[in-house]
Amino acid sequence: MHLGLLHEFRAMASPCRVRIDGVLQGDPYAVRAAERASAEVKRIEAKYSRYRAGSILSRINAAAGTGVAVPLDDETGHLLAFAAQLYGASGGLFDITSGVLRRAWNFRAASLPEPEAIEAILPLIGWSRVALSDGQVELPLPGMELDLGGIGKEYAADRAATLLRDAGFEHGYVNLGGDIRLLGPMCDGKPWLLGIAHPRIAGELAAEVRLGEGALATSGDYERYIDHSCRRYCHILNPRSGWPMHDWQSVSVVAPACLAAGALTTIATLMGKEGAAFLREQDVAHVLVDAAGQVTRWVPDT
Amino acid sequence: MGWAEVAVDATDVPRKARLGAIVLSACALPGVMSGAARAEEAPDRAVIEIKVSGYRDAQDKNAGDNAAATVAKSSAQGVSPAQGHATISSASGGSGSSGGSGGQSGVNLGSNLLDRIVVTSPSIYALVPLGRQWAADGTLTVDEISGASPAYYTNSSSFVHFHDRRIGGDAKLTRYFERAAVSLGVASSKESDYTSNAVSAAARFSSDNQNTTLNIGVGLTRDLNNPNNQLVHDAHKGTHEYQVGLTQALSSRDLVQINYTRSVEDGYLNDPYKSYDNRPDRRAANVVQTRWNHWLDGTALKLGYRYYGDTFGIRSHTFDLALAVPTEDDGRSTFTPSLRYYTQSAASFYVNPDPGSASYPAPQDQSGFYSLDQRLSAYGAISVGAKYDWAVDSNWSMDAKLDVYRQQSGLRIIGQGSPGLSPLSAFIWQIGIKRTF
Repeated sequence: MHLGLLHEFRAMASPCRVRIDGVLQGDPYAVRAAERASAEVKRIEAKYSRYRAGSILSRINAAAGTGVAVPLDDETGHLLAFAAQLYGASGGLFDITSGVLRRAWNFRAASLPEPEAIEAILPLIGWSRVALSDGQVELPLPGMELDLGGIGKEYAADRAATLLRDAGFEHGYVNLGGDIRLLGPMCDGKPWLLGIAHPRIAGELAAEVRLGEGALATSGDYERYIDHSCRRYCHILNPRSGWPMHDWQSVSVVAPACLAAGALTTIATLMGKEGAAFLREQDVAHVLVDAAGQVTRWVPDT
Repeated sequence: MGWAEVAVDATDVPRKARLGAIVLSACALPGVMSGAARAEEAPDRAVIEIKVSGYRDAQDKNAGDNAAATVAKSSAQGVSPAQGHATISSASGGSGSSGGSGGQSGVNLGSNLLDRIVVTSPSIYALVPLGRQWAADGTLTVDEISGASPAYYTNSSSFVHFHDRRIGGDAKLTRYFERAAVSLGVASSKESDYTSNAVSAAARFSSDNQNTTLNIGVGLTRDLNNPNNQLVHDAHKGTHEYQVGLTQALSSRDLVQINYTRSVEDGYLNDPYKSYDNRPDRRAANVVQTRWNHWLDGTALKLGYRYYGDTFGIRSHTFDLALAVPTEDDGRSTFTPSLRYYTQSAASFYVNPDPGSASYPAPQDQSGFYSLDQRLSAYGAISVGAKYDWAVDSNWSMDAKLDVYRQQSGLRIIGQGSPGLSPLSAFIWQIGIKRTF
């Protein structure tokens, strides 16, 4: 007997699925809740898309260098304040102004960008120059951009999961392209078995994680990358150098919220080898796949 | 482990200060963690539900069909004595047509049965969300009641025939808060010889992790009895009801609930259509209801036990068992068979029939309280039923329910059943259709 509801959709350039366990597949209340959850994901996608002219992010970016502060709604204000905290806590490694580097990095091309092109962009990066206050934000330089790519998907997973939990569903998960937030364990109380994609072999798993609550997020160098001279250049770029790190093929973190897990994976990836110590210091369970493909798991003492 | 605990761990240990900053900040964003948003969510879609239910009972043809008829006037505001009034939960609608009195002595339900009462109850329920934090709902019910009821015991020659129509309505307004909901309700019903008006207030509070819910409620009912036989005029009855309950999720598969209700009735509590009925003018009852729901692979096992005790001396125990089983692979429908056993002791002033007495059925001692009402006798009852729920799509759903009920002295456990009464059988059905907008 097929039990539980699976709602699949595409958003944020990723395959997404909402799984509600312990309900009947056609349970109208569950179906409705799953539809609301996917609508919430799409709402966040639309709101924080750089590509939609009317989105709040497009308006902030369009006003860069004009001296005009863009007023923020509460939700955007909270997210930017959180991004500011991540910037501080990571010593500037987590920087939502670094998305502008994609002007130099074309991960669809086979060749690396010219170092001069990167150098030219670096002056546009730096959260510390952004003026965020009193419900408004201002980017001081023309060409500066905010990009919530590092937290938007994780935030959407949390919001969708919260909608479902508040509707009374405590078994299941929201999986947005590998960023997973659980509603709770399977309906029989057992933890979910979550697979972490193998960074080099498509369709294979590098590790499995048993999780009954919380969230799992993964940053991998296999999502968007350029292979050049036997080195992999992935899309997670250091905001100071404009270049990626090469220490981890993938970093996965378990945290209460997907937003926290996602932020920690990005920071750990950008810290390079130091990332392992950083995650232990953060006391969050994690799975690391190093440059040689070696898998390390770490779980905090309870 | 709840998130609050995670947060405390993170902040209490200096070494983890940075974890506290990042994880806590993430968790503090509105809507990221459950509970940071509204836990008690107001309904966001309107609902209209139409139900028709029916009740039909009949007694066995044998015992008690001998003595002479006496009084012959009747009605059917009778609610089974051990059921209590449902003022607090009155907004749930439905017709209170359980275990009444009355019946048509001429028509047979079966060859060995004597039909008593037939009730048909159409009802309509509507729920309307009012913004994000308010909702209103209400029910309108019409009960068409006809048949006959014995004036004493189950004596068919004392059957009194009647027809009545009860119109009842209730409305409730609910305000939803972050982890609480508060509602106020009114209810009213009218028959040719009986009116009832009630107000109620209820509140529900959930813990931060929503694993525990506390509910409290009060209800106040004022009834006015004007029997067709003019035995009394504008006889009042007032009911106060207080309820407190706790629901706890023990695990992801187990939900337990305990509810305590105290109900006090004051005023005219006799049944004016019964011969020799003289009851105390106060009746206080204590009810404890416990429930345990256990989920196993989509199937829900529902167990319930209810204790009832009142100052009439009635003690009753109800045991419920139901199994909600998904019936199809697509999971759109559920079949729920159920079994209920009920046993009650007699009221202290219930008088057993004494066919040898010269003044039968009059009680020999008429100095104190007395009653010959079958509903106050000692008996046991079993009901077997099944319900079928079908979710047609995300907007429409339907259900159908059938219960067969058998009440007789011999089914009583913990003591003896009252002698000299005919067993009663009843048949209860309901169909409903619901549209969500």
